[in-house]
Order: sequence, then structure tokens, then C-alpha cells
Amino acid sequence: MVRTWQAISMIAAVVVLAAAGCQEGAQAAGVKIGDAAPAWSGIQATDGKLHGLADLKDAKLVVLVFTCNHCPVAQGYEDRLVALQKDYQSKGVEVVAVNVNNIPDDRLEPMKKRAEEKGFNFPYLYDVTQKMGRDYGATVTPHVFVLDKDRKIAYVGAVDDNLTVASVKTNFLRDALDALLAGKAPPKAVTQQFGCSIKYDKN
Amino acid sequence: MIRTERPCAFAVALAASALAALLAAGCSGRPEGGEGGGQAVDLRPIDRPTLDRVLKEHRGRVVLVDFWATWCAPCVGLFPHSVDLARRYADRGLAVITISLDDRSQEAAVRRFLAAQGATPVENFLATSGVSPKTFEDFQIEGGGIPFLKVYDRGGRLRATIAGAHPEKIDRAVEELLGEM
Repeated sequence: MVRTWQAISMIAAVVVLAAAGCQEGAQAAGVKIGDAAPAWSGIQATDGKLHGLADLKDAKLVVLVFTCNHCPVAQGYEDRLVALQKDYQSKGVEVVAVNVNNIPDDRLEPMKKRAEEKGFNFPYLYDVTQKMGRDYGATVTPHVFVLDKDRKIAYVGAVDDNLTVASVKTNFLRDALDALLAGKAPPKAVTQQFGCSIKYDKN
Repeated sequence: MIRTERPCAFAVALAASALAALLAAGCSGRPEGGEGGGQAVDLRPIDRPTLDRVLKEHRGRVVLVDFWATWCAPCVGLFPHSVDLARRYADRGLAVITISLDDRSQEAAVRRFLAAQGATPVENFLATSGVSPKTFEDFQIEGGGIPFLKVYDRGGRLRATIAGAHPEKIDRAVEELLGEM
């Protein structure tokens, strides 16, 4: 009986997602390495506060991660982001997670629940306008952008080279942060992002 | 690009029917991981060179490649459409290839899904490099998201790519290329 209910709720979820998957709108060109990072301000978050890039003026580096609740790939990286913030915050790095999907599972209340369950130690923003996603050209969750001390784009792409932790060989994001903190260029500034397509609303 | 509401409604209907199939399979009373839920299907490992070889073997036919994964809900919803196309257009020379971008540890789940879908008129593959940048790079899945479909003409040339669950766009591309001799 339990399995039946699980299956039924899964069906409902997938039907909703299939509907959402149709809504990929036109994507902005987005940012390239060396571009000035588009600022954000007044963005709501799971902590009840409003967030902006200007709040992070003391951070040497900002790791902006487009993520969301519903995507299994994004979920697979949550613990890795929590560990990253733990390991790098004292070095002057700040992680900021942002969701721009507007499907039911990806709205503010479920986001609050997820942030609490997973013990997010970084702000989890919800940009209902999706402007941040369009400004950066985020296509999937997770999609990572590193902003250097001059708030220029220094890294774009994936967190690492495999969703399955045991198969990870190269930690692209950590390698980029280590290089930037040492005043060097990231060994690989662009990697292939992969995951669930961001559901952009139609214009 | 002209957009209509129809593909969405269609995709939702497809998702519902796909899940009905899954549900039926799941409720068959067989133990998890058993042979229940449909006919066993062929599933082979694939990397880029293997795909290129398979495409070459299909010269003379139009080939639709459906990149999907069990973790991708819109892909799961679209999958029956690809199986249906393979059935509908086999006589006119369409070959349909499905490539699962799941981790290899998920092979049993992929097989269960394929069996429940009755995915026998299509050739099924599982990517060897898992859910990784390499997989998306090697198969040139721009944007890094799925569903992603590619349509090759009878000469083996890539003629259309479709990102997202848009069955009407897939149909249009397939029918157009089937019409070319």
C-alpha cells in the first residue's frame, strides 16, 4: 500500500515537472570569464532577509550557485556545497545559493524546509523574477559562477567531475578557489555544467 | 521560433501515461529488482566513439537519439514518445536510439524503467562516463541539460537538436528528414 502511494505521488510530481519542463524560455547570452558580475539586490531568502551582492563586500571570492529543490543532481551536490562553505569561509569565500525555478517544489516554503533539513550554512535565495538566472546565463542546476575580488567572473561550470562522490577525480570548483586565493588563474576556468534544465518562464 | 501551448499539454499527457505504465509495473506484486514489469530489454554501454560507430551502421536511415535519465522527470515523461516514433516510422526507415545518462550503478533501475516502457523497438544504451561533465561534453549536449534529442539524416549528418520536452518539434524534424530520399 505504501508503495502504491509513493508511486501515485511520484506520478503527480512528474506530471507537474513535465508541464514545467515545457517552459524553457529564451536564454540570455549570460556572462563570460572576465565580465563584470551582474549585481543583485533585494532578493528574498530562506532566512527571511533580503540579500544583495553589496552585502558581500568583505568577501574575497563569491561562489554563486544556481540550484533548486527538486533536481536530483542539485540535491546530490548540497552536502558538497555545505562542506565547501565550511572549509573556505574562513579563507574569505562566501557561498550563495539561488533558486530561480517557479515550479511548486521550488518555491520559498519548500526551500526553507530543505535548507533546514540539509543544514545549509549559506544563504539560499529565491529570485522569483528569474533575472539572476538570465543575467548570468544559468542553464541548469547546479550551475556555478565564481566572482573574484574585483567582482569579475573567474570560473563558470560544474562543482566537480562526477555526481557520484566515489567517482570524483577533479574538484574543479575547489581547484579554482585555491588558485584564485593564491593570486593565480584557475587551472580550468570553464567546465561543462550539467544537471536539470532551469525552467524559465515565457517572456 | 513559434511557440504553442500544445506541446506542453502533450508532454503532460505523455508523462501521465508513462507513469501509469510505471505504476502498473510497480504494482505487479513482484519483488523489487525482479524480472517483473515487462519484456527484458537490451542495454549496452556507450561512449562517443561507440555512438559514432552505431550511427555509421544506420546510414541510409534517419536516426533519432534521445538523451535521457531516470533522474530527469521531463525525460521520463517524453520517453514513451520516442518509443512510439520508433514503432510508427520503422517501415519508413527511422531508427531510434536512447542513451541513459545515469550513473552505471543505476543500471538495474534503468533496465526496470526500460522494461516497463516496453522499449523493445528502440536501441538502448547507458553512458559509460556517468553523470559528469565528460558525458555532456562528449555527447555535445549544449547547455548541459536534458531532455536533449538529436536527429540525423540518412547520410548520417546531424540536422536537428531539440532541448527540452517538445514532441511536436521532434515529430517535425523526424518527418521532414524521412521525406528526404
